[in-house]
Amino acid sequence: MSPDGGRTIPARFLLAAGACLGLALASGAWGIVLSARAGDGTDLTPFVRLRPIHVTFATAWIFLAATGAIYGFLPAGLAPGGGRLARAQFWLLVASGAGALVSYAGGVFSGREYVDFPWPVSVAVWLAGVCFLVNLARAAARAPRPWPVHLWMWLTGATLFLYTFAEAHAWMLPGVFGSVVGDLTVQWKSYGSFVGSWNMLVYGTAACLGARLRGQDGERSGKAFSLYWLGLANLMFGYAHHTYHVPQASWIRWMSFGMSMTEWGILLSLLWDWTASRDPGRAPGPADAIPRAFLSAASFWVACNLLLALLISIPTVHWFTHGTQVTVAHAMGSTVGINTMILLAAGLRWMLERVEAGRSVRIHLRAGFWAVNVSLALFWTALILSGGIRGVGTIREGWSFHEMLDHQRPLLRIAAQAGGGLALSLLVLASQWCVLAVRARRAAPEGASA
Amino acid sequence: MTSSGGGARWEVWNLAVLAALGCAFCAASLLAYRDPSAAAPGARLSEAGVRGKRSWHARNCVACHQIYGLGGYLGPDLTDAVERLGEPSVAWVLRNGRGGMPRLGLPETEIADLVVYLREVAGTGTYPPRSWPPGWWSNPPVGAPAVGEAGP
Repeated sequence: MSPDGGRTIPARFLLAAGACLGLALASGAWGIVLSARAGDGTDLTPFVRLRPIHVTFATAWIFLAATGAIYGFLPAGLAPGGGRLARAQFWLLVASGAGALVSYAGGVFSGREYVDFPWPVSVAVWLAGVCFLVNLARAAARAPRPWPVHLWMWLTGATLFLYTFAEAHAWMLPGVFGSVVGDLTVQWKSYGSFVGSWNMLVYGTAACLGARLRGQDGERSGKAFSLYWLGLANLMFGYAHHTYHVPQASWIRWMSFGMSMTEWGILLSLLWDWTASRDPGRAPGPADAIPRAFLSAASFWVACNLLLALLISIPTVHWFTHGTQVTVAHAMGSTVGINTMILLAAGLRWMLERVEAGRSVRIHLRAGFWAVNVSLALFWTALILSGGIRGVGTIREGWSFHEMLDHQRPLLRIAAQAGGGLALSLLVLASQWCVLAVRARRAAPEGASA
Repeated sequence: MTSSGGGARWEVWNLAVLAALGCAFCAASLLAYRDPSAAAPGARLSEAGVRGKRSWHARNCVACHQIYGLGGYLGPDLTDAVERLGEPSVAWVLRNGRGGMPRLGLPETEIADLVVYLREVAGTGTYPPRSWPPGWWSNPPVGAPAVGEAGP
């Protein structure tokens, strides 16, 4: 690991990620309570601020945790000067987070669904992305060849983040802003690929961690690269499964439908891996048990959410699941069940390689792990059922919005309670994460990374 | 540490696949940006519609409402609200609030612009689809001849 902040920099990003997760959970918990009370006369004004806070800081958790894990797992560490660049990236992101929070509190929004902060904040975020890509590229140049698949995924994700994040601001061009259809088409083209770019970072981290748990430095098989290409193709061309109903050119919709259906291959590959025995590699070390548990949970949720995503990408099913809580279930199931589980596995592994967890921390991590997964299962199921009621009721029965809410309310209340449990259990995990990150930052200098 | 797989062989394939995907992505992106349905007369906003859309953004309406099913879930989808309820009813709700939506104290000019914006959105298509059994694409591209809701 580079002597240039090799311990401090990953810990810094992981600690900031934990703080963002806490903020996302608090705003999300309050938001889900309001959701359950929609239609009964409760003033829903706070939701105008809560939703962007939740979305921004949930996304920040993913990016910061992935960045911390990637910096921690770089095979040859950072290049000379990389520490300065990483610190610049960090402080740009802190400034952008503070800027976003201040603007939301002041009621200043861009009004865009997932990038709701004003454009000066976006500039800071984009520049932080440039720092990250430069650091990654310089670190990759020092890594032994041939590169494992996770290095390719990280570089691809960091590069495409810069493009798709900029593309998400195309609405600022008058020609795009003035077209209802053009704006929605480009907006969701950018959002679909933007999510894919952070998935490249997260799934690359999972591939790296999986190899390390087997005592290897990386995965370089044909299967690994084939799955990488398939994921990348979906990132580039599968975006319009969000916008089947928008009156855009049909070839865009057909392209995305066809590309989305190729992910059946990923699901089958995952199910095959579950049934086939795999060489576990080296004997598990003391820092392995907790990451393995989170990776196993992530694998389960990949199967569940991939199956859901494949079904709702079929236009006839999408017909009545779009715009319902089924979409929320998919988003939350993926963000929490897949991305968060992988990042918890990776971040905790890095921290546990450097500090001893202690009995109290292990107990809290174990309790939080089970509470998260049980709550998420209940939350996810309740959302899917309520979304199904909304879709079928609105389209087949012709319910008005308030009739639909009356039918949904029991399930939305269950979802709210499960969501509260989910937020609490994630807060337990986030608190232990922050404790370990602080300890790891203070720990004695480590030797060469395993 | 050991590595797995024939990495050197796959690196050549990787570069080739990345180059091909990159070129295809650039081409598909350019074609998507130049989608004729985006520039069709029915898809473009008037000056008042543009002002209304700016208000829609400034008030962060998307936090609670949807257009074409894209947005928040606390309030109804507003794609064809003007067609279903009529402009006076939509203006009334913007002026007085309703249910969980409070009175926002909007000036009358802003209310008028928002109504124009929603009217022009409604002119691009219909959402949610209200036909049964479910079809494939619910709206043809703007400017294309209507082919009905049952197929592409």
